[in-house]
Amino acid sequence: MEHDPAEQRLVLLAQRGDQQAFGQLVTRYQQVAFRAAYLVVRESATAEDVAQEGFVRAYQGLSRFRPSEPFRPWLLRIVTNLALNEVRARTRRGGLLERLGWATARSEPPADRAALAGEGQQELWNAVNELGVEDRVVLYLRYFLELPEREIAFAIGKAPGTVKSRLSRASGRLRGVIEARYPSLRAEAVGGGVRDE
Amino acid sequence: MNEEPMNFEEQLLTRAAAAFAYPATPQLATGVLARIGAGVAPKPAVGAHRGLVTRGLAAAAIAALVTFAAVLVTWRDAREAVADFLGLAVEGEQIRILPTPVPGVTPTAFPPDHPLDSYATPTTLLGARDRVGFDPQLPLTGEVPIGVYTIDYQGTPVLVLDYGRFVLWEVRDLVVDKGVFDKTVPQPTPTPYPPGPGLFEKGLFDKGTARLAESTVQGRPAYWISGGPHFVRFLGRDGTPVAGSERTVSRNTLVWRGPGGTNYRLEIDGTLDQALEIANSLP
Repeated sequence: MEHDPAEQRLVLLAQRGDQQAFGQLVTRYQQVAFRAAYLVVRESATAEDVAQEGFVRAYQGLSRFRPSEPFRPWLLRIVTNLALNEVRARTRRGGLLERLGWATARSEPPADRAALAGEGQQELWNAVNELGVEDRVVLYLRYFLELPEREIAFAIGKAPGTVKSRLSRASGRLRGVIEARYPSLRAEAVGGGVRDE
Repeated sequence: MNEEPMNFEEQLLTRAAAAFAYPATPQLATGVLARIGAGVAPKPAVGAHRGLVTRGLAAAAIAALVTFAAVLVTWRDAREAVADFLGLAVEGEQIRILPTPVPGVTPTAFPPDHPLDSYATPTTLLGARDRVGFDPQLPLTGEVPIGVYTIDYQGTPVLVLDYGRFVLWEVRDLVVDKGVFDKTVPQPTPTPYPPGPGLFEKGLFDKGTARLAESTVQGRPAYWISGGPHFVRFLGRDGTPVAGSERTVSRNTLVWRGPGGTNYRLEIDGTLDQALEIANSLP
């Protein structure tokens, strides 16, 4: 991971209690934090809560952060965990409501329609939703947030050497879901493009 | 994105990502700084303002229970209460309530809250297993540690897992006679309970804000210290404090003894309910 002296300086200042320096870190990374949260929770307002909470938790944990390490993957690890916790809590709440006869439980909310460009993407999203959370997160980090593998490793707390295999397994499982349930997606991909209506 | 040719699913993901329309990124700095400036009072839970009535009722009930437990503890003479607790103590645990230090008499009532990485050695989970001699027990919360550390206190290996929102300490008492974790600071007044044979010992001041409550983890006795700081230092196998091990624990703390002779200490900025959720998820 490339070392960013400006970032390191901001982290050091923040560790000494300079809140404005931490504010600059927030400004610098709020987009990636919000997007990481949004990809998991799929609700803009909740993603905002998650991202804000992630920054606060990061500030609280700054004394344990080594400035020589990159801040972004450390932050994303916190944000991703919070987002996953939120999804799990939502699932539990949904299950409770379902048992009470008030709602139908589901593990994932629908993606905001505005975020999806067409029916093909909705099907792809449905296919991704059938994966386990670990598979989903590693795919989000790689393909949607375009993190390099070393940062993915840091963000998910795994050894760098395992990221490639994790990505391979996740995409393999996605392939299986698509072939079994959404075969038209494959045909369109092979044919030169997904549907984009 | 990859050097190798992309599979069709990778092509789909890449195209979907490129076409994905994120909502506008909110400006977070103001809100974050406001919370930090206010002393960082973390939200009870993310999205709680959209939470369910049932969640609020559950939280209120838990708060009432914790308050009731705290009242029970503080209603009686503190030392009698401690004696009761010691009678029911978790094996390997001792809890003492100490006279509150007199200002000007005790030079340092609150020892420094050292950053974890200033006294613990960072490592990996595999490295930690080699150093402490047992498999790290990981809570099944879906979270991963942001830091793994070990500490060697004069021959007693301690594992520390930093998850950010909480820190989990694990000690396997292969060596019950090797050390005592004494959560006190040096006191000018003799304490009523001398250090015992436990691995952990906690110190709360009788006029402090920290409160003690009983709980259970996986059906085993546990203790919950909340509401204020308490203290920790490590006593070596000869019973003397390990220099530099004193520190303040400002987070709430749940302590219990798990299966296999492992003593746990969970430090968390959160409620007993949140701590129990983590503790009960351990294997």
